[in-house]
Amino acid sequence: MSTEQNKTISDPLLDPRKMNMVQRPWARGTIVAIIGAIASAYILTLLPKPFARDILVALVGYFGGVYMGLGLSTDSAKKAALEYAVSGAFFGLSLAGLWLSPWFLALACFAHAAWDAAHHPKALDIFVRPWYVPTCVVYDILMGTFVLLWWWR
Amino acid sequence: MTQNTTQRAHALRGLIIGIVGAVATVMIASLLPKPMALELLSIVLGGIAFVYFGFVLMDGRKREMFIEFGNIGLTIALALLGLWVAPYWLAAGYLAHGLWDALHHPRGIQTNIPRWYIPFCLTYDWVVAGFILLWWR
Repeated sequence: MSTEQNKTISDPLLDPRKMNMVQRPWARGTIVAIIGAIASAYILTLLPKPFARDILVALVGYFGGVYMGLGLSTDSAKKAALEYAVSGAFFGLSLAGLWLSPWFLALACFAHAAWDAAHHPKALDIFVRPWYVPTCVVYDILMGTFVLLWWWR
Repeated sequence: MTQNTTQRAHALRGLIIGIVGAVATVMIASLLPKPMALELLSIVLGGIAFVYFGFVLMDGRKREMFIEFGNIGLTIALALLGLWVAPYWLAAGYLAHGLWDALHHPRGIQTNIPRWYIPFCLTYDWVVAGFILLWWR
């Protein structure tokens, strides 16, 4: 093994076995998601409920856009079609959350977490950054719980 | 010569899909009561901004990620201002997003995106912006 290869493998940022907990993508993603969800929830509680709902509706609709981008970037037509369909479903859920009931927003958050988890290499295997799945799953679950607890308080 | 032809084919494909998509959006919006149409167009603007989030997740380069996140933040702000303050902000958001699409030229922002997407999104954005400006008077 060359010196260059030794150097590469001994770099803790490139070898997951040598990373400490905080350096691991899922751990960093989880921490960022918890901080992000607490900050988002705090800001939303400071706003009048109709404004806060508009932001949540927008957030759910926007999340659908991410999957549209992933679908457009993938080489597999089948996976792309799946991403477009899911993207459309989230767009529909965001409008249902706005026009019908905020229940749909909580439902969308939980469904979004499930769809994020489906992007695991052992499931759908659509490539995303390693930090994205844990970050988004944790953020979505926390935000879904927040919507359920806060809206009907 | 062949490369130019392929590029033109990509541009034409994007342009046609953009016009069809924008006409469909405009038709749906014009069938709704104005406040509901405004909400719909606001969510669509934020959604198309977040498409670039999907692109940078695939691309993975940090510089491009920060550049795209900056634009996503700006577009969301314009979408919400359009909803809460005046629809002209929404038109400004669509126009600005069209310009952002144009900046993804090979000599501009280097985020990996499908070639046909730039003419598609630019056409879509500007047709919808034109609709908002004409319709909301």
